[in-house]
Amino acid sequence: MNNSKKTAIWGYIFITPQLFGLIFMSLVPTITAFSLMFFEYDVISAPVYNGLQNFKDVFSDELFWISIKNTFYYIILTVPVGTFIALLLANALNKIRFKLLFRLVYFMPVVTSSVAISMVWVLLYNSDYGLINLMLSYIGIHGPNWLGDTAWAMPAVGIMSIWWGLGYNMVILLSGLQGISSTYYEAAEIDGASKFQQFRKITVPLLSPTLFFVIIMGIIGSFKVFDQAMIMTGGGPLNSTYTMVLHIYKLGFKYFNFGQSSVVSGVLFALIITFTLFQFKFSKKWVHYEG
Amino acid sequence: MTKRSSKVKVVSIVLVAVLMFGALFTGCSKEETNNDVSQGDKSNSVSQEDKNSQEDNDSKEEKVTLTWSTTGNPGENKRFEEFNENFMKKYPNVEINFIPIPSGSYNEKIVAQLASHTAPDVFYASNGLSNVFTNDKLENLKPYMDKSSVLSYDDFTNENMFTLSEVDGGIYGVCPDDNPMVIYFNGTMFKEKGLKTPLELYEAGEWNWDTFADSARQLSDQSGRIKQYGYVQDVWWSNMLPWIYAGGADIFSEDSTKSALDEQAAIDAVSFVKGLIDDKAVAYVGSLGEGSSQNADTMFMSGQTAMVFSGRWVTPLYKDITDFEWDIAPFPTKSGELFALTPGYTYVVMNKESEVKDEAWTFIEEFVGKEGQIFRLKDGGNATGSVKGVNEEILTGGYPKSEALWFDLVEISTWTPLNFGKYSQTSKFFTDGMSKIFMGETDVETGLKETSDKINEFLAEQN
Repeated sequence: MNNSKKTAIWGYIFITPQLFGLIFMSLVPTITAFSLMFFEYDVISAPVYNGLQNFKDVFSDELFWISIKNTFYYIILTVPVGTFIALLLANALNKIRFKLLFRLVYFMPVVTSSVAISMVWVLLYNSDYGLINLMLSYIGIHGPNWLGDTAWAMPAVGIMSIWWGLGYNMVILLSGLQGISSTYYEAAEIDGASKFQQFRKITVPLLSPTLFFVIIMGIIGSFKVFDQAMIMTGGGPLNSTYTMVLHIYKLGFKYFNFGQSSVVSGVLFALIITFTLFQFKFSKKWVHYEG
Repeated sequence: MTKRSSKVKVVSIVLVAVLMFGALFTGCSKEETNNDVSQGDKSNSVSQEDKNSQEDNDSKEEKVTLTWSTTGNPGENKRFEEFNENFMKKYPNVEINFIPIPSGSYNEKIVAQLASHTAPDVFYASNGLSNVFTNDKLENLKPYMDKSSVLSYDDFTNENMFTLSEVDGGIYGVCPDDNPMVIYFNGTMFKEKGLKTPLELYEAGEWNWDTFADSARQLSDQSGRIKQYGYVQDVWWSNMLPWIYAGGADIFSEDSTKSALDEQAAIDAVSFVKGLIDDKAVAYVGSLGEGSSQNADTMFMSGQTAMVFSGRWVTPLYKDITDFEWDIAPFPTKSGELFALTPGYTYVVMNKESEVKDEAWTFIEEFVGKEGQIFRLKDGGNATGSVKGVNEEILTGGYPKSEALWFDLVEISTWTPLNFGKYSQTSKFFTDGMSKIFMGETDVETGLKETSDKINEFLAEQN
């Protein structure tokens, strides 16, 4: 056996566990979901082929369109604001003392269970005895019924999600910032550039690959928002926080209609792919790769 | 890397893999053998050695494990555990493995377990799981009932109890109990305000929508940081339906093929509740957020509402209330007539794939039979009896004080329409429509018309 064959065998041995996971936990379910789009299936009975009926039913269901609208609303609310705050925070924490401690503090929510966090925020948001409205009352503001008002429920879920994801984005951006050589700033300072000019002309362009990554991951994650909406509001009030993944879940596990549930999954998949490809295409205009 | 060391590595990896897979398969086969023996299976997989040892221990009965699941509040689960203990004392050869499942994920979990052939031997199946009754997943209990001396068809008090579980001549579930819903009220709050309690009003023949509205308005207090309400309107359909019935209206046409929600009597009934919500005399739970920690139970227990509408299942939970006095009264009607609503369609069923069917049936007999119900439901249990002779033994004036009221309510109680029991979509359309109205997203007439149209369209597809 020659050396390259041996290396290949070792390679296969090492990737076997991952390959099993990929095949049985991702590939098979994905193919199954795609095939289920054409079947009526409630898990406990045999699937019955029903052609394009699931597509007709899904597209004529008002809740499907509500879920798409809400998911986009959530993305618009959370991704730009979340990325911007993370960028400011990363910049602020880049050159201060005890930055390790701050990073740890901001990263803590990321490693905490989203369910536990959602439960805590439900209490914080309580309109009668929640901490947020109590604080607001000290400055003379009568806080809204955060999770009970159709106008406020999605922003409330969004605020919590921004806080939750802030640490992750910040750490990624911070690592990007630390990769920018200080020589650029020194040269700019000699040329008399202000701090803001340095940020705009040096930091942002050189950080653009990292920013691109954060935005892409943020949008994909936001498309898949589920835990927060499920725990905090259950999709209510009046479906105002009813997202696509919640619709997938409810069609499948509440109404045992896995065919329709798979159709919505397929639409979500197509949307994520489309948006990601679009961003890659658009990225050429604003992402600068050094060298 | 030397040739020798790489050989050693390959051999060690192969050895580890063989050991791992070996252990895995040994584990599986061991479990299988244990199950076979424990369940007294006469299949060929039982080895001769096992058979011999079984014969040797003929006098000692093998223990079998029976798994059962339900969903309940902490008070109910405690009572179920007491029942399990009692059952195991009576049948020492049965080990009960009780797995309570939170209500929010109960149906999903049971369906997943049925699909993966890991469902409990016995479990509760209610209207949210109506599809299991027609999917060949449940054991037909009729042959067992026909032979039983403990539980028979004629023992049950109401023919409605089999509407969902009786399929093609088979019986796939039995009602473990009955549960006409009532108003639970905080007597202390009424007394502090100098008001007659709902029970006093009922006994005086004055309990109707006017006195209900008057009480709710007077007991509402919006001045403090934590608001207080006269009544809390839950989002569950069983909490919304009674208003329509109690207003003299109906939910469906006589042949149950069309919604009657767009008729004037229904519009008037819903307008009455909407008016009280607008006046803040009644809190609508839907506007508190579905995931909110505030629900009807917690609001009642924390003194945030003077009245709630619920079944006897909250009694084990409310038993621990020491801050105020509470009791029950019938649901108020527009005319003042006695009315009650039974949500119904909750069954105890047996998994068709159970390997301990005899023990599972014995468990069902004990659980649903007269003696078992008396054991479970006495001293403030979670329901009233579903078989004859139970209520006389359990409604003896313990918790709540006026529980004898249930004698009358059981007689007259209206069961929720089968369209709600059978189709979760119907109840969803109804609940969504009512939520829209109660949250002010639409007016009562338009909301009910829309709801009616959706239900009619859905029912037309089913028929």
